[in-house]
Amino acid sequence: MIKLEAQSLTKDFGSVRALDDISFTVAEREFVVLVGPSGCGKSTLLRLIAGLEEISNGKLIIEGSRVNDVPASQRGLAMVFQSYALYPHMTVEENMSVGLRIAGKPKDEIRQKVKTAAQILQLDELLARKPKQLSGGQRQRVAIGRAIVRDPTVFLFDEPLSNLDAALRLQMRLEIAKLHKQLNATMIYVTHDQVEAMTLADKIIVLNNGKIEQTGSPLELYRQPLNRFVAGFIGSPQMNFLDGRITAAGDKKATINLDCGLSVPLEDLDASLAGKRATLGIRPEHIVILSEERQTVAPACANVQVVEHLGSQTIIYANLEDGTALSIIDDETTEQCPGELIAIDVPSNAAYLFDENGIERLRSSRISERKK
Amino acid sequence: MAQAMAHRVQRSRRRAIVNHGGLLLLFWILTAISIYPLIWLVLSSLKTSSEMFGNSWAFPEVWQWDNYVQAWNAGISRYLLSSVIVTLISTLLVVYLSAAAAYALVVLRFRGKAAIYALILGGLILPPEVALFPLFQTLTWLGIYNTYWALIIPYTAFGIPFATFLIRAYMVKIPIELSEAAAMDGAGPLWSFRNIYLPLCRPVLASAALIQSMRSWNEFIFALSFVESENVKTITIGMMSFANALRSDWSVLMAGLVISIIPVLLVFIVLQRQFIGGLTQGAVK
Repeated sequence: MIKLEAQSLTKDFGSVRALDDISFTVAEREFVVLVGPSGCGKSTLLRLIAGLEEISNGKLIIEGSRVNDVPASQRGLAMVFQSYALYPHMTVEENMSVGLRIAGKPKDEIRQKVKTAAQILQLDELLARKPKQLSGGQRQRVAIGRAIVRDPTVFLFDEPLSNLDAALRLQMRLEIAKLHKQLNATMIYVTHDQVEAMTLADKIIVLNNGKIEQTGSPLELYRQPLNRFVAGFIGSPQMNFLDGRITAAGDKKATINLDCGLSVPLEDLDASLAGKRATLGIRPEHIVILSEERQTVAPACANVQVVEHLGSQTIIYANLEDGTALSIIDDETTEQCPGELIAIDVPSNAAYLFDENGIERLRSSRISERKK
Repeated sequence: MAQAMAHRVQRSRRRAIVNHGGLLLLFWILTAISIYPLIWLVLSSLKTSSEMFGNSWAFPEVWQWDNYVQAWNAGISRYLLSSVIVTLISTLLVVYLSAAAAYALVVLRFRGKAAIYALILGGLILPPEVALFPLFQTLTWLGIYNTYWALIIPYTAFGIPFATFLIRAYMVKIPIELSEAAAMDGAGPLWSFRNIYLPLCRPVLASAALIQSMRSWNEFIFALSFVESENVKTITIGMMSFANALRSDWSVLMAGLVISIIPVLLVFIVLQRQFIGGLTQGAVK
């Protein structure tokens, strides 16, 4: 069942178009993450949904009815703010019960609901405290508790973890994921952190410059990015982009000659791309470092700049001969040193190809064919 | 080298002590200047009139507490009551209406906000005396001349601009997310005004209340022009007619003056902490 639907939403601030033709649906119990770089309009989109900003154009539908003109207080949604926005003069219990008190619920019911939510979030001991007396993580929990208590149609989260330190962020991320399951809730979550998006989402909506770049499940976005922006945004470290020229195309024998000297054979490439410039994309984890015995066929050399040992894997930052920066994830324990030359290969079966407009041409076309 | 250093440190320390002492002395002088008339007033109110003129600086020979009883019975009680009523109502109105206006200006979204704010601030420039004659006519026309309302309404009107200015400056520092969170909790603007903004603005509301109550209490021109009956006159005008009536009895007049000061003093003592906090809050981030 569709809980919420956006139809061609537009938002203008004066002459600036913050959001342009945004359409998507949120199914019941779905966890949708809006992700994008800062200034892409993701928070504005959330505020449009919440009713805190007016919709300039388009339709917002919640549970079947158009809510464009319904004020925020009557949309039946709950929101967790980045700054928590707890009422500083009220205790935790009062903070959490505000929604129910405004709705005029009986006192027993309010107490029961607050108690249940407090137990879920391990806030039982803190109910009598004021926000000032809580740590960042606890405040975050209260903010979530305030949302839970209201039993909203949809939960909205606006970068809820960005004020927490790294360890706490990880812990709260897990808790939010658990909560989503436990409550069977529908959630829309805004973040600029693609790791958060990947780990939490059923569906990710990637926004850039006020437009949707791609919508899909985390793995879909990772494996089949529609364009260079999504390919670069999803995955850490970022996908490597190598510029080059396509020599021939069609009849399954296309090749791209990269500026760094490497040639990569490509299969099933659109014949119209022959002779054009293009960019090859390859994820750091897919680049192969060739051992010495195999270096006779070594297609390219890279100069190691920085090596990060993370224990389970090693991230190598290197420069190709033409100066292009490259990051490589190496699962092997072989230790590389800065200044060393390594031979690398780009396996064509893991590569992506972006044309001059940044559109992916190798995999996405195959996918659309498969869908047909 | 080290000696020169030590010397310099010593000298700067000495200078700091001198500066500190000088400042302290200045404060003491200022305090004496502002307090002395009050002490003189209280002492005079406890002397006989002849003693007051003959022995102006000394302590009273016999403490004349009876002066206060006389003053109270001569009509001060009546004036005091009028002043309390007028001050209390106008202060409550000013604080509530200004807070509501400030809330609207800060939180609500509507067209012409800047123009409305400019209009309210324009009231700061207008001297009350300018409005004396038109107000007199309006009050007569409304049929409230010579009633408490003839004072309460103008006091409120002239108090709102500054109070709105003061409260608004405080409210803009309350994160807007709080009212947004309240909206998400299902609250309308009135709820978040009463339950979030008013409680959080308590210090500045106290400041506004104090300033307004002093203004209403001490106001003279309107009180002189808009009421004439004895039982509506406020303390400022009351003291004037009192002075005429008691021309010979100066010490009783002094006692009356002391009585008229007490309420303001009490209000200030009760609210001063919040008052100073409210005025300076946000001055330094």
